[in-house]
Amino acid sequence: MADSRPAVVEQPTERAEAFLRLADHHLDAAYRLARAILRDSTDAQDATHDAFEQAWRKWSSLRDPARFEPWFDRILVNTCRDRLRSARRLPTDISAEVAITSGDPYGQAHDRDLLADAIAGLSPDHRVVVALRFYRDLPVDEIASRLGIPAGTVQSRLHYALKRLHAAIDTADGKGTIR
Amino acid sequence: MTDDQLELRLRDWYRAEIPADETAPTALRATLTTIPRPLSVSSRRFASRRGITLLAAAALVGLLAGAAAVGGLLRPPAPPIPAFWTATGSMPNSHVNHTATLLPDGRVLVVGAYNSDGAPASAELYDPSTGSWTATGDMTRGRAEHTATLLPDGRVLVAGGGDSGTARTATAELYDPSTGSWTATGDMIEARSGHTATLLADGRVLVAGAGGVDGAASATAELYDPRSGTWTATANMVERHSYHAATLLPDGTVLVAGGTPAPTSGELYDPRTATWTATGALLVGRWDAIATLLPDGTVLVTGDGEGEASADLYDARTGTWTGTGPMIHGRFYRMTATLLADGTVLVTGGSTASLDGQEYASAELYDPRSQTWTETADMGVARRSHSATLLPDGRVLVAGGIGLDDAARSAEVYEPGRPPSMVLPSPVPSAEPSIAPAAGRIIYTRWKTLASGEEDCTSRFAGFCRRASVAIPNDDGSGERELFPGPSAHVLTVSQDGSKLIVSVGDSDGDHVFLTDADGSEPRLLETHCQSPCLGDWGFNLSADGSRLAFNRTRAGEPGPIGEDLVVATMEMTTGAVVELESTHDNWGRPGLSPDGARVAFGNHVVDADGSNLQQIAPNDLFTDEQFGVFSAGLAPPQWSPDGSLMPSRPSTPLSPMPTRRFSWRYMSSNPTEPGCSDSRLTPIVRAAGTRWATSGRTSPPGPVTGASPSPGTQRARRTSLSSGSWTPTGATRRESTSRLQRR
Repeated sequence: MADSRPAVVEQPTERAEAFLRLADHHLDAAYRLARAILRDSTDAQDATHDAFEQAWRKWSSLRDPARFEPWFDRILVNTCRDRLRSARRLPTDISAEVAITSGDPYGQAHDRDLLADAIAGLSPDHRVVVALRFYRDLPVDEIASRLGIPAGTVQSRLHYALKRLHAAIDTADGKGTIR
Repeated sequence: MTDDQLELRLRDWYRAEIPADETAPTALRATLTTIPRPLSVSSRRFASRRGITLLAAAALVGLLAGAAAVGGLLRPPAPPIPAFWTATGSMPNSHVNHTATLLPDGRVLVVGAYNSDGAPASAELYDPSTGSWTATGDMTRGRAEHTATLLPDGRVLVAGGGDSGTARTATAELYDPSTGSWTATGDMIEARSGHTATLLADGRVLVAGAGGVDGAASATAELYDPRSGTWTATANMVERHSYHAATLLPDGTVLVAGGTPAPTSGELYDPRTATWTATGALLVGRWDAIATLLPDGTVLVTGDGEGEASADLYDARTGTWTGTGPMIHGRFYRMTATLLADGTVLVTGGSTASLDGQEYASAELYDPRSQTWTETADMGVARRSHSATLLPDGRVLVAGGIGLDDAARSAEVYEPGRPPSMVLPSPVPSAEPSIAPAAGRIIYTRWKTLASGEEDCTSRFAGFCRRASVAIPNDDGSGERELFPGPSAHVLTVSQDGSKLIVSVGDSDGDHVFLTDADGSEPRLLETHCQSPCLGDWGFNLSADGSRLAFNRTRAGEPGPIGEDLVVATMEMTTGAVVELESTHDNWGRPGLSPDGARVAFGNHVVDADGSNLQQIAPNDLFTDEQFGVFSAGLAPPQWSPDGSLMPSRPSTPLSPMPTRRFSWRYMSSNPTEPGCSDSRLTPIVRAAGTRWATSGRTSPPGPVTGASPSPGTQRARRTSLSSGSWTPTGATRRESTSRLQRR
């Protein structure tokens, strides 16, 4: 029978130490998963940090320390997804556009990794399931459990994500620019 | 490529991109120790926001919005250049009671005249780029007090008019700019002069009323179909009208107002039912009415106000007439009124009240925002019965008419003057400003990187800690108000009057979207921690009065087939009801709401706000491929003008003055001088309901603020704005004519 008490004891110092031990142990894996979803290192650091902050606030809801990884992954993945959504809402960053204008945007665009571009073109929900499936190699049921959605939904999202990736890559292949 | 191959490729990509031994950066690891701590006031504020109530949100944002004005003074604005007139060549022939039509290529076709020999058939073209006049093919017959209508296919329909001092004709003909030739088309059912012709949304032309020197006014109306070249009768008007005004309203109906012999009559024609209905009566009888559709959808009616210098406004939503600020001069007998690019109306010439009245050289501007008239520069020649045409570059060509100094052959151009501009203060804005044109206000998001240990930065790791806020400079440039300071804040959209904002405030829990007044009061939480589907993903656009929000998002429910799950949607702000309208098929379909909020344009489509009546309004190859492929996310939404025209989606403001591939327009390829520049003079205008193409300078939404754009290389924003409408008159000294020529 699972322990019904919170995983951390009531003493604040001990709570913090327990949290820090788990956080430090899972930090690298969490950061890599955030990188897999967000790609950008700075974004991944921000998201990882934000996720650990949330985890600390929700610490008392973790009843089984052995389940820390899936419990924390869910927080992290939701944080990454929200960052992707938020990025789509952001207005144009002037400094970024100035940098682009000073170079050759057309040439740069064609030099990019087209697979990376194709992944970047996915919706936030699609990017999350693709990363969990093909980076973390999680089975569909486990992805569903970590995201808190039905397995059929995960399958549907994977199906359409792969169709989008196919379309993007095939288009590029057709133009002879895929490497 | 098979699914298996793709999956293999994905796994390889992830392995190469994120090596298994990659560790978290040291800075990130170091910040972990700062997390388990008592929550700071600031952190608690955001941490508690997930279950926020409206009351709590109001208290919170009220506190946040209370920040004092910050920031330095704006740089002194560049002084405006006053408006002025310049003569622009002399027409080969005299033109009085003629028509002047802006052609799709930017030239102006002038036809028709009365002179001592009757009505000559000559026609002339004005080229604004050279300021020169050239003769083009003669009409099949002479005419004056006719109508000229630019058809969707670029030809010009000329109908009716008088061919001598006493007769009027039923004939009509078409001018083809590509050949410079005229061909007869079907005769109207009734001979007309002093009538009106209005291009309807479906491409047909409504001709209504008649009058002339030899007969009574008529109540009849008929429709011209350019596809068949034939005329068919439609229902008679309620009253007889001649020398009246006819205006296509944004809802597709046509307002007929005033004229002889029913100077207070107003009625509406509905093309869908082919019926006329009386609408409210004009406040002042206008025997020779002139109407101008204003940016807010109301109609300004002036002219021949029974001895008064009055003007009226018609509100199509209520069907009512109200008086507006009196003009400076009582103008009668064929003055002109022209809507300018900034939303003001330029009125020129006319004559004093009596039949032996003197022509005016003076001109005045009507500002719909203040409902006041101010003098502007005088014309060089006093005139009436002339023409005024808004040119693609925002100037106004005035030609011909009755007056002194050979007015009938003279022409001059009105330069509206350059508005002042100012550069916003430091610290620099970090994002493209939002424009609230009607309020003369711009609003932008500011991001500031905080040093370690500064403010909330203890909760972040060094170098990545940012503080954001929404900054609203005062209209007089004395400072700015700062709203929503915190880890993340940005403006999603601003209503045209600047009174309401949609703002996204972020924290580690996710985004919280507020509708708030510009002073930060009365915030209303629209969404917190978005769950699929989010309220909106991008492309937010608030209607002019703030009652409806349009946006793009991923369709509710499970992701659908490729290209079908990105939609344009609307939200009713009073009820919160969301309607998904149409698939945008791509990221470039940012929505633009019509001035009345009833229609939504996106990409090259228009749809009613309830999702019905989807129309494609421009060809699919309007843009070059590289714009779609590389910069689709930067596209601006279509911009509406009050007459139902709109500017299709376009790239964001160019940062480089030099042509680049990203800003090239296939449409512009015919221009040899500036191929590839995103020049406002070359921006295509498309009628929402049809296929009419023209170039136009009306690229800025009307209002005191005419533009806001990044300042290249400085990471500052440049704001271009109008002064308060008190430009100093300049140019020629006013010369009131002593002409005694009578009207007609």
